[in-house]
Amino acid sequence: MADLAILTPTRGRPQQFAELVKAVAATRGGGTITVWAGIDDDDESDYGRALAANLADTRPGVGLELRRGPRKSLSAWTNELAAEALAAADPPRYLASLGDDHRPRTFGWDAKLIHAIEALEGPGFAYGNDLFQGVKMPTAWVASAEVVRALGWMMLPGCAHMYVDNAILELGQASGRISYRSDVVIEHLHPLAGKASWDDSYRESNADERYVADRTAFKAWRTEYLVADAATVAGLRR
Amino acid sequence: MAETFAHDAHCNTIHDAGPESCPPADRTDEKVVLAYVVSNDVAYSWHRSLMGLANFDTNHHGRLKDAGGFLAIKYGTGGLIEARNQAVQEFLDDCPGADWLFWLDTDMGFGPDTLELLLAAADPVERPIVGGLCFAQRDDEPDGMGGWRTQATPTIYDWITIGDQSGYAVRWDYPMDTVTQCHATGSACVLIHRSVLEKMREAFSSGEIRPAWYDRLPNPSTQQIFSEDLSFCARAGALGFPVFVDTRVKTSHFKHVWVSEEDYVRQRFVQAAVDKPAGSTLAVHVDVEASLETLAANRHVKPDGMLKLDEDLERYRQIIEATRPEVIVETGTRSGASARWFAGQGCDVVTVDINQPADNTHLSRIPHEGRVIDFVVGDAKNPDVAQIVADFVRGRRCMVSLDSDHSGPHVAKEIELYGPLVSAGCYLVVEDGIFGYATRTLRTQHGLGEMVGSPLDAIEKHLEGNPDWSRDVAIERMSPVSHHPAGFWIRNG
Repeated sequence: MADLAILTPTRGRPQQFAELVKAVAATRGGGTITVWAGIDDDDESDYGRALAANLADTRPGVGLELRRGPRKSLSAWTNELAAEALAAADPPRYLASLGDDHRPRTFGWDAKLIHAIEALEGPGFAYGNDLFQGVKMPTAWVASAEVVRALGWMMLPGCAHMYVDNAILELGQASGRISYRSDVVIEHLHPLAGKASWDDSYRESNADERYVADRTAFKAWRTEYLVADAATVAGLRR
Repeated sequence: MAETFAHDAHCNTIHDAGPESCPPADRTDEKVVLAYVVSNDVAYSWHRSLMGLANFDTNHHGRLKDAGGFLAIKYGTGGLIEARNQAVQEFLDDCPGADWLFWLDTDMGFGPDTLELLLAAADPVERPIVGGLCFAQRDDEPDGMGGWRTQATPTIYDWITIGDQSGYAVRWDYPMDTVTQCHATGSACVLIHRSVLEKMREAFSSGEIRPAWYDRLPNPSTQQIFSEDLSFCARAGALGFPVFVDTRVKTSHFKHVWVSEEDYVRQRFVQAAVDKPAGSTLAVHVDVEASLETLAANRHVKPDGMLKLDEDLERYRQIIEATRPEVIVETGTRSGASARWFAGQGCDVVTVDINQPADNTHLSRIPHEGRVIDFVVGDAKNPDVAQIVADFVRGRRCMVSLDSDHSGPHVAKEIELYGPLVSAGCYLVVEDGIFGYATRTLRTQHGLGEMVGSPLDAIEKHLEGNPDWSRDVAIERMSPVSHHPAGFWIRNG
């Protein structure tokens, strides 16, 4: 199994996903990486063709696991992929959440974020500069496998899409187990940053009702479970 | 010989030649005679401009000294045509060491470097006639009160044929800030090589009849008489001499006009259109209105001469801390205050300016807070200057800040020259894109009234969508105000 598993649910964006994999391959450090993609059954996009067209000349060292299944939310897919990756015979030591609109730009970004986690007192989280939210939000992050196992989730389950990064930030800060590396760039090519056009997936995930539902779930978690989850993370030792 | 004229076929192809296609030859020895026809009055602008031009020439190549000089021809009973012919005659007979005749009419205004700019665009063979961008005043329509409404008309003319009639037509939509070929131009500000005048004398004089460089010619198809300057160009065209206008060389022309309410309304309308900021299609992540207010209030002006907002300094502080460049290249030294500030952040600095900073007139390198600031004096868009800067940087982790001339083409050239110096993971900061949103009035208040385009144009051209660069929107969003919208770019790799 790879040192790092990148979990990337994707829908209707085969080209963007292929470009993500290409960027990961071009910028990875010394360790091995597997990119796990979760694709809805009803998504008729041709991921195979896009990958074949884009990855012919990429550096080796990046594995690819494509999973198809019933349509589900970003967090549901992420947690399902995390569970499968961790259940493997030789599971990864770290898991990363990257969207298909993220692009690692800094050479060795994976090693640098893993190194940042290893500099913490115990297992935890690290994130880089997405050139949009910067330090304010881990829109992409790396987590120790121990954390995901202990919590039972990679992405806050009550939220479908929004506020999942807020949850990681608050959990990391409350547990004292999160590190930000401003020099590690994982660019977020989001429409709000002016770096992509709005498509159906963006419109759906950024809809007002989605914000309201996810904000409610996030606040409920913060009220009822944050302290306990933070204690769980803070109690982890290597 | 009988005087006939026809424009050469090759002259009918209008082409533009940018500065790059007119490499300046080594022309330091070329001499010029400045000629003008003068009555008992000259315009104040001409007198003032001529003093500046003469002073500039004295301090540079001295083209108007020795073999060059001045030909002041009195406006006599023969009028303008006779005076111009006389000036050419004297130039050819009495100034054998002079290469160029330079007409500057006494109702013009012009910059001190006008002669040098025209000479840089001219060439004895390829471009032997080069005019500045001049405007005539054309009576447009009666104003109903005995006067006329007039219109500024560029003196760039193309030879056109409509049906069985041919003639010179004004090129209203002339290309701006370039050297452009045409079929004729005026004689108010024009540089003419000696060879043109000699060949014309040879071709258009016979026996005792004096040469006629400027005698007015009839248009064969309409029988209307051309003005003396167009007649000169017609003769030049017939002999195969091409005519050019350098639209970078600006002039003004003193004229009397009738002004009325209608003119006032028109001017206000035009002023509003001219004053309108160009803006940009780039996504905006700062509060543009609030940022413009800080500009209007001069909040960026520091006591030590530095021109940067506190918010932008904080942005700089953060990106320097995050990326740890060893050296920062800065274009636009000005007072040197920002170079010292950069050095105070723990970086060596290489700073470029077309002018030597006032407080370092005798130094090219100064130590500052344990770091070194190297001053390079030169035009930042000159590749030779950029090479000197690159030699200072060589092998070190480098960040670049562009803060010299904010015109779009200049910044674009700087991005081309200095962008490659930026190390992977370090920043290129393109400063003062805010001026792209500023009215002309506001730009003028900051000495940028003549700015062409803005840094945002250069960003759109060279950085937006370029896979080598990523825009750091996070640093822009750090606070609502900034003078560098879309200005922070990380080199990928």
